[in-house]
Amino acid sequence: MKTERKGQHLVIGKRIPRVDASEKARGEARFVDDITIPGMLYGATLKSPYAHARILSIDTNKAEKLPGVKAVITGKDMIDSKRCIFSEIVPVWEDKLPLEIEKVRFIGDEVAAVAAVDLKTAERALELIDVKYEVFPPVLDPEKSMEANSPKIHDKDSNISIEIHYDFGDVEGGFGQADYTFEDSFRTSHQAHCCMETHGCIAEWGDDGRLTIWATTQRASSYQRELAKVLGIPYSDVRVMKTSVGGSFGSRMSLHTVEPICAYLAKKAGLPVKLVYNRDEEFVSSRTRHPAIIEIKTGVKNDGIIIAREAKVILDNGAYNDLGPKVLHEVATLLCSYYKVKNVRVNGYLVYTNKPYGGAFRGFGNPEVAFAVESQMDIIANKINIDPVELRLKNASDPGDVTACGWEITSCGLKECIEKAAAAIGWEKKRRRANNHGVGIAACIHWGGGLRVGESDFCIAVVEVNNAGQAYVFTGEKEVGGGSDTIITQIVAEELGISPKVVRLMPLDTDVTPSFLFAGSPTTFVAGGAAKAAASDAKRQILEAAAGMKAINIKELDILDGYIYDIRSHMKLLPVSEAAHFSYEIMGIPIIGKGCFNQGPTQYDMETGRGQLSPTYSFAAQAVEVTVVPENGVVEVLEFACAHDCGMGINPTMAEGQIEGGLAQGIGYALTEGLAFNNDGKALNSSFTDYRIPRAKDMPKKINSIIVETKDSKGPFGAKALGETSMVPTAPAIANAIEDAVGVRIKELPITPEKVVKAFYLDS
Amino acid sequence: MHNFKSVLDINVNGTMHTIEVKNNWTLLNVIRDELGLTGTKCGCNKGECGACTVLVNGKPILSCLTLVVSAQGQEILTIEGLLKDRKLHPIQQSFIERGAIQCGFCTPGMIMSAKALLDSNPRPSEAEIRAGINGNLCRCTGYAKIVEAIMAAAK
Repeated sequence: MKTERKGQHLVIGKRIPRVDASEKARGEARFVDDITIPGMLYGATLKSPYAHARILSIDTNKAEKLPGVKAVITGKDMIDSKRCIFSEIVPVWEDKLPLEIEKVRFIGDEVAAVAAVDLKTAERALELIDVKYEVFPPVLDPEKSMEANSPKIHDKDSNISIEIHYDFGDVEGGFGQADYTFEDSFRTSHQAHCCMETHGCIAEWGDDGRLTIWATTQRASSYQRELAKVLGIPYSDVRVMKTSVGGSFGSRMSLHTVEPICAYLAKKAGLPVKLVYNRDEEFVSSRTRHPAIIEIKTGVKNDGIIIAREAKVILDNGAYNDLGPKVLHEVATLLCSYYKVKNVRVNGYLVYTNKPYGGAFRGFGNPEVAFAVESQMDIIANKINIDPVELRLKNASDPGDVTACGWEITSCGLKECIEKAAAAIGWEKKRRRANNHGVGIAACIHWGGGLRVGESDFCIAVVEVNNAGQAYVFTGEKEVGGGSDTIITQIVAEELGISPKVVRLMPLDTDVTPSFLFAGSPTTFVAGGAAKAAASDAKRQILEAAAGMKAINIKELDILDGYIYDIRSHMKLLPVSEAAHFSYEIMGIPIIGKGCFNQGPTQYDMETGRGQLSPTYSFAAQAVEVTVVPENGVVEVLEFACAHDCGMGINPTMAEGQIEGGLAQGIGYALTEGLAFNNDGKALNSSFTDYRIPRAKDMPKKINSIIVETKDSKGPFGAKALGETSMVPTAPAIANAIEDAVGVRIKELPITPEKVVKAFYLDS
Repeated sequence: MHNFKSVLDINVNGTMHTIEVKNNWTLLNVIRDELGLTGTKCGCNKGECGACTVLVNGKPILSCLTLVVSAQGQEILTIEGLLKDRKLHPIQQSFIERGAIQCGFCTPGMIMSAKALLDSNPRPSEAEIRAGINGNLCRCTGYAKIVEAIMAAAK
């Protein structure tokens, strides 16, 4: 048995199975639709069939009279009808009511809801609700929507929700010194999250006026606060309970209409209500990724050094803001932070259209940015005759760099990622090969710690060690599939020096588990940081008890494999359980460790875009080999090499899982995905048959995942964010590989076979 | 038509159930809502995602597209039926060990498809595995570790 740590990790870096894998394999994990509450009713919502209309009247009489219907609500029933879904950051961005009262702004916008004894009755009741609309022409094109004479979607003078203008360095001077100037325009698509579980909520009011919800949430504490605000009750009266969640990818990061509607139905009916979207509803009524138009002008010197950049971004907001304003800010600061270039200007516009609205989606604006920046890098490389890998290495950030807008880069493995991805794909051998084969590469920067969506990046954890030496962890983080439960378990086990098998994460319940005001890929950073601090505190208490028992200075003690040992003599002294027992029963002091991770007030100014967005940054490069059949435009992805600087792989199996999963979404984003709309604003492909996400046969047979460990000083055990970066460089890498294979440059996603054929035969 | 009822005898996971059903109920409805076996999931309710996959007489079928009345006299196996005396089936064990599970929503359907595949083809190639699970959508894993897990369970 080991008797000293010698700086080696016991659990961190190990491939332990997920703590929730067994219950999921058995089908025993409880998702929202698996839960039944006695007396529960079933809810359904009525959606607008028009993309742009004024609501003249809603008659719910017939619906209310249908046998089995227990509650019918419209927007007017919801308390103080002005309470918007909390957009989190800035009150003026709030523009969405749970049920609209005056206007509907996209097909799928909800206007009424019913709760009944079963779903079929609820759906029949929806058909009996008579809504009279005054229909307006829908505005579907963001560029047309920006025009002064376009129909206005909100009660504002312009359909531009927000605009930003960032200017750093000397852009004119930079272009003046450039030997080449490149101007290219790129378009990205309306990607849908396609979580396998649809949005759902169960709401139950107690006699004490408190609300309990089980919902597909990504952030329990924030939902608690946001929902309370919309309902007009104190947040301590909202209790959010644990559920397994069938994926999120950002779609469950902010409150949706589902939760307040369900809560209101339950209040009116006086019974619990379950409201679950069906798949059609999930496609159109839940949020999406923002389509982007990015015009990017880049000035380059003869040797390939990028000297200036100017970008214009139009983000298609859809009908409402949600987190759109924040996404636009991230897009803009990202455009300022790719590579060393100091002279950057970004003009960005978030524009309303009468389509499903955008929100958070894995990458939060970075996949859009990367497609533009990294596609153009290869256009540059080809023109000035520098190898694309070389060009990136020449311009790549280094540790200690500060980007144009003020991101202070600490650990940085970007160059290593680029080199490793290129080597792993066989760059030298496969580049410019004949027979319609090609390789491409793309790189990215991304926030590695918290992102401060809202007041965020604040987490509390509590670790209790009982007198059997078992640790109970109370944290507000919410597992949605990415594996955060397991990461937290590993971090606590490592810090305490005990086996992960005796570390138990307490099921989330906001009445019991403490606050966590953020979730998304930096969960490891924020929640892991808090858990590590709490475990450290608990460890100190255990060692204090042991020091007292053995009359040894606490500085001479450590814990390994569940035993307290003397560092000097390497002697095993006593098990953790004995020290804990002594503390509880003899000293009367329970072992309860407290930890807090607080990133502190933001140093980033949203107005100018200047400042440190995140305490640390992650980097990645992905290289891909494809073959293209010009005659039918079919692109086959053969192999991917993904090198990710995530600081440290706390659980390599799960890290690979994040890379492989993100890659699949990136491949879909690149080649097949995007909601399409007809002239009335109706989604034409709102089903899995027509909206094509990658299936098992569509994935490359070889995915080489390379974790580059730069061991950042700020993250727990050196870790930085990983979950989002895995789909950032994917689409441009594929676009670049297609160019290498058949010489066509596609600047619009998705890169469908039609586009490839057209480009190959008509444009080249 | 949809108010008509039938009484069915169906064998689910080795247990005979006699239940009254409406003729327009699907097998998925009955498994989840009448029998309380919520391991089988509803991802789309129109046969496009595979989350509802169960085995009927050993063959993988989409229970959301199957009328329950057609299950009369058939042997149905759901994810809950894989446990033997609380011991995991080798496929379940392999999924856990190989990191083939993330959110877990597609997992029951995926495992049932895998079982059907391995029962009929005990030594599949990678291409055969991918074809065997091509009807099961997963948005989390990229399928890589699922394929590895099925390959490992086949050995």
